Amino acid sequence: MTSGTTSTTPSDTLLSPPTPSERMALALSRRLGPGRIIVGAASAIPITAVLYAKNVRGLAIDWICSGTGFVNPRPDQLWPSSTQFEYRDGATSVLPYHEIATLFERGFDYTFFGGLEVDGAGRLNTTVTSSGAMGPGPAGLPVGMARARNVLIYMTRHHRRALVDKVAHVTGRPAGNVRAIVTPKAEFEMGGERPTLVRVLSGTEAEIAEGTGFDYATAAGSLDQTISDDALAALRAIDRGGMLR
Amino acid sequence: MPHHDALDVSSISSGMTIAVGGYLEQNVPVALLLAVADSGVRDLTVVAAPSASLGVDLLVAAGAVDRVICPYVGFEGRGAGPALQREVASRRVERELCDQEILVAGLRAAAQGCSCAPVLETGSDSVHESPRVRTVSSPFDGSSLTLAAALPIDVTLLHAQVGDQSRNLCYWGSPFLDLMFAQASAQVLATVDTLVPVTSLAVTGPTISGVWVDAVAVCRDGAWPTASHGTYPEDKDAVEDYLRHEKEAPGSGVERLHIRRGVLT
Repeated sequence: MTSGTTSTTPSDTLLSPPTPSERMALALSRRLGPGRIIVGAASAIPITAVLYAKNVRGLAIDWICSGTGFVNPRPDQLWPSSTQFEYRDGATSVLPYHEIATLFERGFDYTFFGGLEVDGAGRLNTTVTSSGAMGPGPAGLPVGMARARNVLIYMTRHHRRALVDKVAHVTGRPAGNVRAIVTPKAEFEMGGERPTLVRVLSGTEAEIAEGTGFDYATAAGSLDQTISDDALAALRAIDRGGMLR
Repeated sequence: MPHHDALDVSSISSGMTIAVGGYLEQNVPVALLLAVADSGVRDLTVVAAPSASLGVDLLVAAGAVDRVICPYVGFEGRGAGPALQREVASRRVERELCDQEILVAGLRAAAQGCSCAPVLETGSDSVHESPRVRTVSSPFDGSSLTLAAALPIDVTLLHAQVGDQSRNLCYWGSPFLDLMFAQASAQVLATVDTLVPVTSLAVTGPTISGVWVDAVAVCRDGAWPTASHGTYPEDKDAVEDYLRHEKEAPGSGVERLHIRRGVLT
């Protein structure tokens, strides 16, 4: 267990409010549909979103850990990296990487990407920032961004240095396929002239504005993300080890 | 059967291009890489999987590298490779812009003996600014065609879980990009957790045929502190120890790996 500073019983855990990471997972999951999904390496939040869509919502999904090529794993709990052997559990086949590369090139239905910077056009930078900070590099981002039919961007921090007006380097260039940008604080929907804030996941609208460097609109009506106890319990059954807490 | 064979990396000389197998903190041939670092070779070009970590960074930290061709060098939430960041910033090491497409196409072309292979046009700055990429007109329909240069490898270093006396390799988990590296390489050296008689792998078939492999050495902790997929997990303490020391003093992360490895063996 990684969450909290006090010990909890299972019933306490169910009653404790959802964390920002759990809210992100549910926001991402709601945007998934049936099809082939590729998930990257350090991806506990997207994997939770996929497993929730598959196991709880019952969507017909084939999902692939992009590093290992494990197809449709059924892990007992989440692990820090999808490249770990533990994700072999329940996998129905293993794709060597050159076949994963072909799957990327042929096209697929959904994927998730994060990065050093994202801008309001959904362009992602994992290479180098304007201040010269070097990122880890592009990996499969360029081809994934070009070939996925639906891209969900998730950023693990909500800050003006991460949500920028214009990225310093376009590592991943969208092809009209970025559907949302999800952060610990906010869910932005893409598709219009600029992103639209559709849900507040944590904090306040003022804090979101303070931490957002790109221009965005705000949807009319309530921006609350309602999460039922049943939904939270189902999510925590997937995340037995409490990685998102 | 000994747990450790002597690791002979004498075929690697300064200026060569070597490929590092495995992926992030899985199946990285660390024992072979440390032997390369100790051998005193310099000016290597290092190629690694679409996502690499310790394997590339430790060779850079050891001062053996002057060029890195790898789409990603990072430690999954623990930051980018500290030695690579430092050496690129000081211009002692060149990092070529390269993504998964450029890497895979380059290896494919090298295996075929061709000068280049086509890659998808993705619109990424990382592709357009890469020195390994050119755009031409297709001789068939005149459309724009993006090509990546072949990436021939002199020596590939791998770690697998099982090997046999015919140099076949078997992986319990993922083979990652190891087969492509082997096929693009003039020579392949591998460590394995266990060596078995050749007939043991004949029924299920190896993951990588011995046709592609030149030498196999038994080294149970050959991937440590990265994981050997399905045999032992990543030693996170040791990886974080490397990161902490390498950030504080150049080269000290590699020394820590040697020290802790000495305790292991």
